[in-house]
Amino acid sequence: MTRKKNIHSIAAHLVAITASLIAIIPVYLVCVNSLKSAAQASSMDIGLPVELHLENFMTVIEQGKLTTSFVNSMLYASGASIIATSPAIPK
Amino acid sequence: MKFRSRYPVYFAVPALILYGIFFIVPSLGGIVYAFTDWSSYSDEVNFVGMKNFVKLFSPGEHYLGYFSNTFLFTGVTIVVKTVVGLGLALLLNEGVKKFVNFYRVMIYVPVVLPMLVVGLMFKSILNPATGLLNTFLRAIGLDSIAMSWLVDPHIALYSIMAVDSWKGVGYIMVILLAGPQTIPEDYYEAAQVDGANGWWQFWFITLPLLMPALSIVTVLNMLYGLRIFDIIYATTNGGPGYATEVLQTGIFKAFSQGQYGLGTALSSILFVILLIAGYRVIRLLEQKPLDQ
Repeated sequence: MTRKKNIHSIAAHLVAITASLIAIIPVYLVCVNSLKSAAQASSMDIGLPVELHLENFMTVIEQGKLTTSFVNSMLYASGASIIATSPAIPK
Repeated sequence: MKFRSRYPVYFAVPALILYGIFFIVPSLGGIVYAFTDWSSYSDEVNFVGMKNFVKLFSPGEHYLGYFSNTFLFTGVTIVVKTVVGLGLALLLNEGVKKFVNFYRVMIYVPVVLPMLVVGLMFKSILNPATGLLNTFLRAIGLDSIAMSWLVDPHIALYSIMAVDSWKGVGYIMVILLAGPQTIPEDYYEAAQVDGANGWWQFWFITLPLLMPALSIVTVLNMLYGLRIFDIIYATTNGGPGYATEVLQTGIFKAFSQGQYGLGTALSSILFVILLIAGYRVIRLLEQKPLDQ
């Protein structure tokens, strides 16, 4: 009985691990490739970067004008929340 | 339903006026434009009767495919997400005892990603030549099922459904996780005494008692599937050809091409479909939960 239970538990863990891997690998792929050089990232494989290219992040923040985008997102999110909740404030 | 309130009905008038001006009038006003040839090409707006609708439903045009794609997408994703989500929920409730929270977090991660990021990610993963999926399939010797996922018109829509299910299943799992915990252990014990095996216990105890949760999940998936837009816009943008066009991408394209009348007609149809679906939903939610 315990043997059967063990096999069950191992099988269940295997399924859970597979599901987790399927869920996480694409995300991992993006994170890993964000640190690679342009040439290395073009193949989008799961290998670890040869050297860390943290300047990629600086490039997007500067060239993508992320500061403005984030300010706009914040304005949108806070503005919408305030407008949507204000009718619910009891007098 | 009997109206039982101590307040007179006219108390509702201010709210109704606001609702009417900001919701009802614009929606109905939009529908009026569906019967005109309003477009960016001319300043005149002429009444053309049912011409837009005739165009949408004529077999010679490609618009009928938009409807079938939308319904196919909705149907398949409802089934896939619910079945996989329920399976994972049961697995993480009963099958697995250790690291449960770890697994839950892992499976929930895709839900929090922005849809456009997911679309770009999978465009690269599903690339027929260099994509990770096909590289992996070839590496384990399954060359025959290494397909051109997003490029082949016959399977592109199914690839998108798979991507969407990959993203959505964690959310469904989290909703369904709470369900099995509310089912008393006694039922299973009683069933075991009666000689029911695991499958029968699932079929006659778990499933009926999870029905309220399952119906909510179905409703959410249905309303989501009918309004699907971003994942298709991010991966194939309706292509190849019109193989993955759905209602929302059709509306988006009609408007961006300046065919406002046609776009309004298409969105009015979607509005009616959602209205019918929404009505069914409310009826479903009004049903009493199963007597315990």
